Amino acid sequence: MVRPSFRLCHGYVVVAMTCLYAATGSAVAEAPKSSLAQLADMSLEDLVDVEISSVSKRTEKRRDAAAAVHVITPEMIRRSTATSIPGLLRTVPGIHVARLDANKWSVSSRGFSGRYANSLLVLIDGRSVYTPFFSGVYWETRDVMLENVERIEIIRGSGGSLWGANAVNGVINIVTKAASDTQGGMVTIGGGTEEEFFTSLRYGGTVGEDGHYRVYGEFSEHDDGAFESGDRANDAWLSARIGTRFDWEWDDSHLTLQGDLFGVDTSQTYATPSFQFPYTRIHDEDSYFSGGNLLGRWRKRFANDAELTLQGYYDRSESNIFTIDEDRNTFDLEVQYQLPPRQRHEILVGAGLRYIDDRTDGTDFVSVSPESQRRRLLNVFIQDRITLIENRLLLTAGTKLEYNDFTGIEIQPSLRLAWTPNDQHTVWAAISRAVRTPSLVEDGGRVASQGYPRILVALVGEDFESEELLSFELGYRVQATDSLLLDIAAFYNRYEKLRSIELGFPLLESNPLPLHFLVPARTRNNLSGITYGIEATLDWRLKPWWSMKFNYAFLEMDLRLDAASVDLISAGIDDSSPEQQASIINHFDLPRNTELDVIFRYVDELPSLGVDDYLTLDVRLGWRPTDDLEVSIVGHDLLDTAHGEFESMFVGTLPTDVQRGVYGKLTWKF
Amino acid sequence: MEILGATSKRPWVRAGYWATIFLLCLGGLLPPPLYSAEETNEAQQYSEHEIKAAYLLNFIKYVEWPNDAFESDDSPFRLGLLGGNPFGEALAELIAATAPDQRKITIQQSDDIADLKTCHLLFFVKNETEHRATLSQLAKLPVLTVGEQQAFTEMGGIINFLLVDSKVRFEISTKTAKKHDLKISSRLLKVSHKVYK
Repeated sequence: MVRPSFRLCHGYVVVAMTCLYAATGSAVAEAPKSSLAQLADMSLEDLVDVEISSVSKRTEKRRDAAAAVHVITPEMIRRSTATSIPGLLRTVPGIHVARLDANKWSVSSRGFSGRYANSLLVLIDGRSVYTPFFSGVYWETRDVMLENVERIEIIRGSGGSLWGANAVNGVINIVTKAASDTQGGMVTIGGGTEEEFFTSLRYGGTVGEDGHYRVYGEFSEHDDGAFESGDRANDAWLSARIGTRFDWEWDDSHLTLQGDLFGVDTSQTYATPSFQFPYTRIHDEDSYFSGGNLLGRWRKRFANDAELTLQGYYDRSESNIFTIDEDRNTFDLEVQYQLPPRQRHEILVGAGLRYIDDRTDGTDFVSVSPESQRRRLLNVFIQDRITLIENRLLLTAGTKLEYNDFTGIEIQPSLRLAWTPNDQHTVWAAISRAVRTPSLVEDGGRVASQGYPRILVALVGEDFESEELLSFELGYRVQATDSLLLDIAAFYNRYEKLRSIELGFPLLESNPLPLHFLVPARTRNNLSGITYGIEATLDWRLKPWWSMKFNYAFLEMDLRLDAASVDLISAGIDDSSPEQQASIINHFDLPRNTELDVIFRYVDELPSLGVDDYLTLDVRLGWRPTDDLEVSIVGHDLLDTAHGEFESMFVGTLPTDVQRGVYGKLTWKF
Repeated sequence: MEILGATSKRPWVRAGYWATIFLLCLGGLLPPPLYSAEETNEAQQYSEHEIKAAYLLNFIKYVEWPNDAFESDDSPFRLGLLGGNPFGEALAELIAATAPDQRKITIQQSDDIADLKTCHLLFFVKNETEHRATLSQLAKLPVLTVGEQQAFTEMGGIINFLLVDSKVRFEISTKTAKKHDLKISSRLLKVSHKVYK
């Protein structure tokens, strides 16, 4: 099979590298200085541009946020045992991460787990990365270099009013550092039993007087997992990525230009329906993903404190999977305007336009019709933060109006209230409505799901409407002492018109041969129900050298099919997300610049998938002889030789177990 | 035509292919002159109050006190903290790190305004109370009042810290400064986020 795009992608790489070479050649570096002395030497004009470290930013933000927000900081990333974004999300309360095989994950918020989990909006620097094919994320292709991450904000619950469609049960907002924060060079290299080899390189310098840039590249190679039987699976994978980012700041303007290119190559074992005994064919296949994006953002603050943000990006992705090839170009343009603050109102308005050009090349197993589609997505939003009582009571009201080609206009309003009786306590409540619009496969797709002798059950997407959610949330945050923070959120969600899969009357079909009966399973909106749960985080610094974080989440799902429904497939959704999850993260700062991190994690059973509950232990031992050098050893999933975390749904790949492993890592800054 | 390395069935061929691509990238990223360039650090991270402490020392530099505010030419500059010390050690460390050719700076901390009336700069730690009454007690004294809460300048303070885009900025009321007989340099006004005249 010829894969021209892959070749093309590498052509881009060469061109990009040539440009980067030219850019780095003129780099001028600055001498290092000790921390506070450097601050003392700064001129008044310099001080204006010093950014507050993210820790204090987080407390500022989190204190009055009327939403269930969790923030992952660079320090938390450095001291984690994760090597990918899904890995980092494992210790976020209320988020369920399950590995399907070595290169596939299910990441979901507040229920509805699955490889095709579809109610989470994932943004990288303002760029939406879910695939409209199934409204989910190919996590293996959407990783970012962890050392570049400024913060990851996880907002559980519906972010509909500001973030738009798909943010039904949560938003994951990955923000990378400005180029000015990644000056100088950095190399990481490491490897181990499961994470066989990984390396990354980054270099940042200045462009003229006001500009900074960085260039980076990373490569990783991951080992096969194991089948439940203990046999070696075939799910190894490789990933390569290069990118660059430029930031210019002058007067009250900030201009960002960034882009990256990636290539990912995964192996997996498929179980596909067949007309021959035993009616399911097990076979190994490779998938190839490639793509890139280019994003520009301009932000200007005016003298009257109004702020204008203009952002545009182009994203190209191509996936060559055994079941279907996808080729997608996305153009997106967004504008946001923060009105000059008035006495009690902070008003934010915005509009966005997305244009998606899709081409799919399906197979008998998965196809979409028509194969070539162009779709538009338009939205406008307005949000007002109203100070009802100074420093005490803050009301945020907002709504988004969205137009999409499938279901027309959708309205997603929300109302949030935060009460801060004093600086220590915040109580908040929210009511919001969110919708999930149909994905490509739900409106015009066909998925062959099960084979029997001469009978094929096929999921046919048609006449599918948006799923609707009405969400009630309540939260409480208390900074009990300087060293103790407790954050609790509870929710009650009412879903209507959720996707059901209705079995239809069998049809006789001759394509593909042999002649067989086709049992159509049509997408409909006959499922509804409630979910409720509670999530808690306790952040506790017990000693100057020992901090602990305890996370707990409880989730109950109760979904029901309409009386008229003939759905034999969706019944298990209730029990495919864990009822309870907990994690305890310990960070110890030991003498001689050594660090010990001990992470326990528990995930409840998934009864409908036959997955047992499991407890894991990860340990990281780090040594930082100087500020610029770090050596660490990580042992992960130490409590068992292997455990399963999920089971495939629809046509899919065979799940494999997560194995115990160990890896070492070296980071050097120069 | 197909690039064999990228699509080879053998993992080590693919790995070698990718490794080569990656090494090429590295080669491109790191031209030799860069190795000899001076070393750099990642941008330092400072807490909100470390930055504010650095500002305070700059305020001392760019505000002019009347001569009779000091007992003699070598009497110290008194910096008062009302209602706590959010700076920790940072303020003292920064004072130690600044040039010694200025007046010696001493820090005084109290919860009672009566103890701090002789200070030259008085920092009002953010708290629940309104500072209007306290500020009125300082009327006409040559004290630079600096706060960090909403409407501080409206209540009669001179400089107020703001958080803008996760950066520390400040606003100045030159009108109030005049009442306290303080001269604010144009350089400070230029950097100021807002000036109330």
